[in-house]
Amino acid sequence: MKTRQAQSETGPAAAPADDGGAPPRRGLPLVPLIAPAAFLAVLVGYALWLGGDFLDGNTRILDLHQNAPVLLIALGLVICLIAGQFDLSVASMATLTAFLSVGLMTKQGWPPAVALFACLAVAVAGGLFNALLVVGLRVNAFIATLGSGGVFLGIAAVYSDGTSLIPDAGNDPGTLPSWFAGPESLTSFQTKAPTVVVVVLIAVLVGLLLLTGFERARTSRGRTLVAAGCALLAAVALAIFVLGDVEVPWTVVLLLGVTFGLWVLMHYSTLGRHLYAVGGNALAARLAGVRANRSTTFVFVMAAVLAGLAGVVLGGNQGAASPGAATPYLLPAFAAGFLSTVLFSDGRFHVWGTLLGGFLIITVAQGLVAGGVPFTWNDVINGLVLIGAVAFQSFFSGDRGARRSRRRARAAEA
Amino acid sequence: MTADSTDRVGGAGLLEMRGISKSFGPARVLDAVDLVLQPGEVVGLMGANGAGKSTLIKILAGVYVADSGRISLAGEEVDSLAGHPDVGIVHQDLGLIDSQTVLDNIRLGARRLSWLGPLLDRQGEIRAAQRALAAVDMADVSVFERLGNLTAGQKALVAIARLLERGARIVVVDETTASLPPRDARWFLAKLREATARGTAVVMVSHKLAEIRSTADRLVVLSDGRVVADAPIAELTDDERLARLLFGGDAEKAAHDAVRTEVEPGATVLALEGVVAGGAGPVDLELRRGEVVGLSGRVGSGVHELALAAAGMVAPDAGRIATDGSPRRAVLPPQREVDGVFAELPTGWNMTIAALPRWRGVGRLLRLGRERAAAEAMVRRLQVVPPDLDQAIGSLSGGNQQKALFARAMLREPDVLVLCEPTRGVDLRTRREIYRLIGELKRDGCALLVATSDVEDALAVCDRIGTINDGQVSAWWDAEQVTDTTLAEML
Repeated sequence: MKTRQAQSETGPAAAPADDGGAPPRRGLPLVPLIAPAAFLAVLVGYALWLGGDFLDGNTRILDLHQNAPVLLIALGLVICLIAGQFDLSVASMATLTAFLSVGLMTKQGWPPAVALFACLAVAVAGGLFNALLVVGLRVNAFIATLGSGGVFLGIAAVYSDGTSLIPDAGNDPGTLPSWFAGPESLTSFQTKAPTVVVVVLIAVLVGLLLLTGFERARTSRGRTLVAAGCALLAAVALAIFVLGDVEVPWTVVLLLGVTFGLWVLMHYSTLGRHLYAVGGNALAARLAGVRANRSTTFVFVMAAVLAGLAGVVLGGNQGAASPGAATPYLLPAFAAGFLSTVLFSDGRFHVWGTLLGGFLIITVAQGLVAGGVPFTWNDVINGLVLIGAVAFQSFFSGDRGARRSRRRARAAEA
Repeated sequence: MTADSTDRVGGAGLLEMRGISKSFGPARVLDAVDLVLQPGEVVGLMGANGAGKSTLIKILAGVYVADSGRISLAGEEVDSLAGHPDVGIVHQDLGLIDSQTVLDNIRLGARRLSWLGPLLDRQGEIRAAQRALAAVDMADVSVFERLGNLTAGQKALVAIARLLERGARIVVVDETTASLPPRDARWFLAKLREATARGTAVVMVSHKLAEIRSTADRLVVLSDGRVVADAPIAELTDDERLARLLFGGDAEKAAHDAVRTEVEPGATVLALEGVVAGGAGPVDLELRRGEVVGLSGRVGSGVHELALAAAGMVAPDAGRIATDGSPRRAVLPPQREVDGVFAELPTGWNMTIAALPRWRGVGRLLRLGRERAAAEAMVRRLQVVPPDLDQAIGSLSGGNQQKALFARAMLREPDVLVLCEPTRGVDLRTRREIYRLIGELKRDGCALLVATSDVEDALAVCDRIGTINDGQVSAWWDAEQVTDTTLAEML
């Protein structure tokens, strides 16, 4: 975030208009400041209200851990949104794989690896099914995935006879392996990643910020600012980790790893750029040589696979599965995705923005719960955040913003 | 005020615009333009792209307010024509809804006629719509007919009826005939001519001289924001002079010469064999390196579909496209807002989207620094303003968007470059730059196909020009032997 601030100072200055007009500016010059400001406001506000305990790193990490399935779903969803598609079936897919992962290992007694592979296969098949409807049969994605979501949830209900699936160690032909579920497992908050993994993680994330910052800042002053910001960020992260005695569970490592992978895909690959293009204008993308149908198929499979992963994490975490377990995740996942258009990147959907957006929503909700507001208010908050993000975006960067900045550009040009 | 307005053209006109000027920034788009309309008169308005026609029309429509000058409507001075129902505009796309009835289309957006409180006075509306149809001599069409069932000419006339019903006394027909089949266009213009008998004045914007000749009483020619001719049609007999006025004469010739540097055509890289697309064809055509081939035809004639088929972007309905090896093909799409730009994405991404594999490095990941450098070089070469790769392309002006799309095609380093309407909606300076770029590409051994409805484009850059009429290539012309007028009359 520090780097974004640095960019806003160096970006426009590095590219002065040569026609003597006003220097070109973006529609919303303060955009890079929104994410840090939002986090600062939320954290400081809650700290003042609830006391410094709210800033405890381990509690916030626990939030991330508990919401890992929501955030995984959101990450898959945002890939869909980037390509201009919708997927309402992701939460149902997560419920389905939660049932399948637990059920296949216990009730069917399949080896864990086979059961997980089956979950992956089901998710891929579900994604292809959505793609078939949308790309092949030209069904509107909204309707297609509303329907397929019903199908996935229904299959989960049929599989479990409509009841919760709870392993019964004595009578089931198989048991959940200890690395998958239980206090020792990778999906438990109790099992922390070793220090070296966390340090590597911080190094990778800061390195990433440094890289993106250097891509943009081309003056030496800009680079210095970027480097200083990144160093500061690394120091703060390490300080929190070491001094604050913060430990990181494997679920959070998984979450950050998936986000990193998706970011590389979206930022550094031809496919990623093509997805943005298809989402921006499918017709233009086709005429620019992008295979739009292939891209669309990819995003539905990606969304379903990440939703499937979310379901597996959920199943392992709970060691059981209940009907519609992941259904409440759809709304916050959408809210996180749309929040990324506001928080981070000039009106575009963004992978890191989604993770941060999701984290922000969770933090807001947790703060209210800690402050005594009943948790039943969560969906009210999620809904308002979703609407607010979209409204903010269309108000500032939609027609108005575009028209305003177009006028400015014309003036600069003339 | 009345004293001033009676100084010319036989008393107060229905509309008088005097000394209208309009600037955008330091660019003066209209410079002291006079336009006077008499009741029952049809005035043709012509001019090259960027001459100021659309700005003048937007002032007529009240979209823009003139910087200086006086406007008087039926003898009464007004600041702006915004909110006056007296002036109505019909654009090329008509703005009607095919799935609705004629009645609903005529009443669309009109003030609610009702003495029934919140309920509609259906009978009153039907009568009003019937009156409107009768006013354009179309009483034989039922108001309950779905608009989609009407012919293209009838639809255009419904658009006129709608304006008259709204109280328009001045109707601006903005290239409405460009997308009509020839027979419909003639029928529409004849009906329009009849409608003026009731005192309606018509301003007719068209690129087609023949059409203006047959319909208009008077022709006004704009060039670089000034009126360079304003005379009754009967007096304008010198076609050559008119063509020079319209197409800018010497200035264009310079660009023309720059491009027409002799390049000996090389090997054939792509050949169309009996290709049918978009209702046009079959067309046989060979594209050779170092040659610019033009296909000239009206919008909707199938000329763009043929071009996109040649570019390999759409499958032709019939015929075959033979290529020598697998030449790299790039295309400049015909309608940049619709099928060209990614409005919300950065200008840089818009430029590089078709050539991304060029910058792949380790693990097929993009080397963003090199991508950026290539895009920046293009921005400098084409003088894209503002030169900011990160700004959303939608905030750029049309001409600069067009340059960015040109950059997209060039970054692909194509062997075959298909350009649809390369100068659509760009100003004169950009147009010349684009002509110059086409010349450069030609020298570099690219095979170019230019599909255009713009006579100027075809004449300025093409070595050979095929004209498409009624779905057929009616003739091939050697560019050296074509004059402006022959081509203008053909289209």
